[in-house]
Amino acid sequence: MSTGKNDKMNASECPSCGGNLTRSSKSIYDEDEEEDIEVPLALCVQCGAEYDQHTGEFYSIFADDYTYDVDSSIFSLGLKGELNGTEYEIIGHIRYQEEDEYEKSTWDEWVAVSSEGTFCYFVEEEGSVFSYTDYIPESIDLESNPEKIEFEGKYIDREEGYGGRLVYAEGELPWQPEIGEYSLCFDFKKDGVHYSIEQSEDEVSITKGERVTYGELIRIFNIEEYKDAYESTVNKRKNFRNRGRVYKLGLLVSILLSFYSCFSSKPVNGIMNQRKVFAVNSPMIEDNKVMYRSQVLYGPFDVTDTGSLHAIKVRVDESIQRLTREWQSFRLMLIGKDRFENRAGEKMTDPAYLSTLFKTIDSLEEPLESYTVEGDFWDEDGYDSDGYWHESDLSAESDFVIDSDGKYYFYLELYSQKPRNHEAVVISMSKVMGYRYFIVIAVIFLILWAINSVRSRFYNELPFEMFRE
Amino acid sequence: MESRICTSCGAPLVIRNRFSKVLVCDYCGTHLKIDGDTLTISGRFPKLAGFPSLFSTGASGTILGKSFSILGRMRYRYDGGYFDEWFLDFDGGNAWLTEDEGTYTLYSDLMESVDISEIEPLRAGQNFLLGEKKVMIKEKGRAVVDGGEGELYFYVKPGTGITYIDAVSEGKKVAIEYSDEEIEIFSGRPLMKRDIVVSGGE
Repeated sequence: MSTGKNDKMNASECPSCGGNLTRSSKSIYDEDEEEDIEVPLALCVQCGAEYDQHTGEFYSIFADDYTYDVDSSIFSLGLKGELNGTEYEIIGHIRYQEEDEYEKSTWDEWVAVSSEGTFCYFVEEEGSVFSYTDYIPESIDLESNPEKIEFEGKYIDREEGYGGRLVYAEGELPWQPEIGEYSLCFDFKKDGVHYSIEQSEDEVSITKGERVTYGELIRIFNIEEYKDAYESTVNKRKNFRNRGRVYKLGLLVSILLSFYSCFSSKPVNGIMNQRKVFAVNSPMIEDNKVMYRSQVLYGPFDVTDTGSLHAIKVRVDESIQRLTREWQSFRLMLIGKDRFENRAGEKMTDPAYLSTLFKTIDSLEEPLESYTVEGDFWDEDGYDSDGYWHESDLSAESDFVIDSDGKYYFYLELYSQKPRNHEAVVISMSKVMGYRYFIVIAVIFLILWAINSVRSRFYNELPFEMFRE
Repeated sequence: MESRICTSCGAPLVIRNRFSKVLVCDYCGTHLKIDGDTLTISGRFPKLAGFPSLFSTGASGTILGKSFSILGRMRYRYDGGYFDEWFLDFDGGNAWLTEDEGTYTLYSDLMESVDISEIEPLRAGQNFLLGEKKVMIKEKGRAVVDGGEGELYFYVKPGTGITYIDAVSEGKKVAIEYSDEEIEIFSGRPLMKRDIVVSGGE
């Protein structure tokens, strides 16, 4: 067995000329990011040879970049415990860095030897631990098929394999480790059992394993110092998980209610049954341009459900007249019949008075309208570098709450650059349930669920990473 | 069991296995080649250092419930240290037990009828046919024979380099040891310490 630590195994000499290697970097084009990125490399100060992360020389220089948290583990050398009826002692520790990654992406292997003369490898990665023991397969073929490897009748794509480079070693190991040494690894499941194949230049290791929870490891190795923190972490995660479930339920109920609200509107009938037209395409000058104005009063119609949310929709009905390469503005006012009658008195039937009243509606001391909606309809097209394009906006919507029920009018003003049929603008109104409120509540539940879900996974009082148990 | 006299020092010797090729004199350390009734001196080498082990030459007991007695051993030196090969009379036949850093592997099935034409090109991860068996090489390495003791039915002179191959085939371990003069191929299985009961010794 070999023993040692990194500093004894680093050999930072250029294999070409024996010169010293030093840290350097170069710019390469990253196809995923679609930009140049700076990547590290080992550079020979003597002959200028460059060694990237696919070489052992690179790790002789950069291995320490991947080992700053090497002590952050549940394991330590000398730990003893009984697993599956066999006593083990942790005697060695190695760390691999995934070769294709520039950032730190490591996994640790803790080597345990048993009094029975067998080895167990505890593989710790991203907060999960698997225990692996040597396995002799009935059949294995790593080379015959260029695309797949075969293991006891199961075929595994070579693309599933990943390369690892040794970046750290300590304690006793059943082989002589060398910083930067390469292993091609395949991890897979067969018939519910985890297997791992690690192939280096000199050796193929075949192991069979199972997941071991941190709770089991603390019990197996009787690690007193982590017991309380582990219990507390597990209990709090459970609480977060339970809370998350409640918030998730609330989220689902809110979403269902908002869907229900969307499809449970009640239309206000008879809005456009009666109309008084005060102006049709009456020309007017504004900013030295001619515009055409139409004025129409619709109603009266009944509005009930005081205090309820109502939606007004104004749209261009292109079956009556198309809106092509032009614009049209509108202003729609909801006017209570009582207020209207108080203002107009006996002149309610006098078109000349009403026309004058609406022309001056903006200057009235007391507003006549209860609610106003303004907007534009437009249609454009043209050509650009991508060819022909066409865009239009032919409808507008607004929500409001009715203060009091009763009879109402809609006063509609239309301005257009060309004379247009005012009947092509259609007004509708409906009582809607407040789906927006449910959406707001759903968003709150979503945030609470997400927070608790994340905390149920990552809340941790332990000094090392622990994934869900 | 045959009684002989060491041709080097005259000490009394016993041959217990008819397949043994070499006998190491326990008194003077001379390696004696067994050629019918004749013992020819192959060389005189230092005795092996006594590392702690379950086994010793002449010890007996059971492995997996079957009786064994130890005839002799050879020790090899390689990059990782040393390993011993214990030659056994196991359940009425020959077997060899490898002890390496406290791990044990029993090779009890001698593959006599197979041959390997070229061993140098073989490498870890490669599959090849051994007779009719498809074998995958787990490890290939070089070792040097450090010495021997007792009766040996696979013999390479101390100081000689050998190529060893650890392989797997059909759920079994396969061990190949190859020198210019000898090639031995066994298949077997790993043992746990609890599989071995040593009950007696000389």
